[in-house]
Amino acid sequence: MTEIDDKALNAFFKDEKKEIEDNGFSRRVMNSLPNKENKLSTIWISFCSIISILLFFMFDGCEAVLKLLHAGFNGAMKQGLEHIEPSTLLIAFMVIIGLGIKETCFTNK
Amino acid sequence: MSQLNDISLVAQVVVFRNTKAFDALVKKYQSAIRRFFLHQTLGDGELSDDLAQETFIKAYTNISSFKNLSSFSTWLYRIAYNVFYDYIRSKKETSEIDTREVDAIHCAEQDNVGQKLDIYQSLKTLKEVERTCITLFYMEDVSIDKIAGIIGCPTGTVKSHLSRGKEKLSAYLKQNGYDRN
Repeated sequence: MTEIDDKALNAFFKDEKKEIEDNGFSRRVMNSLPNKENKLSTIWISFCSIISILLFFMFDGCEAVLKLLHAGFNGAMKQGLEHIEPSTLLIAFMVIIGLGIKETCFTNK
Repeated sequence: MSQLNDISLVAQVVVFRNTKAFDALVKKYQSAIRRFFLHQTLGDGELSDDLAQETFIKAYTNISSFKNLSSFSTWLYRIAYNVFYDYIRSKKETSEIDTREVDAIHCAEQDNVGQKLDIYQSLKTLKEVERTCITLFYMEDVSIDKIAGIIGCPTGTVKSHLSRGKEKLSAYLKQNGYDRN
């Protein structure tokens, strides 16, 4: 059995420790990254959002929403829901908002 | 400092999908990863670049799974190791040939003779896992602990691979007149 010499191996491999020139490798990698789908998806979501906002204002969406809220509030009052605690309504409202935000975030991911 | 810089770049990629930050990581590690593959494939430059590219793409798509339990370079080498072994496995499945033959297929035609040929000829005498351990240890100066993390083996197993690899290389060096004893 021969004695293994680390120095001999180090010397043997020393010349192979050279840096490899990039020569466009990084650019090829960056061009191959799967971010084009994400970009397309972002563009599509932005486009749909802009169209939705435009349609909302074109068809008086604000007025329709206010009317709906007003009608809902009046209906609730008529049916005697005025006994409900305001804090209960606030909590329910916050839960709905929270669920909405969570849903939006997960859908975007 | 370098480690902190890596973590900062990784954080920018994870949080903002900052491709410039990832580009900086690619530029920093391309040489080491391509050299790693060059040694594993016994000098096949084209195949090495393909595998290195696949490694960086996998790193980018899975970068959120980097938990900073090891250094970024160790994590990247681990991906490279898995990419190489996936490649070897896929070759085995398609051609039903053993790894020695895979080595022979991917041993590149050498443009020059001399030391470069000797390096790849000497590495050819090793099993893949021994070659991985030897090249990481001697050429990339990776510690035994880190090699264990990269190939997913206990440090004792890495030491055994290194020892066997050293024996084979030592014999090769002596046969070819590189012995300095």
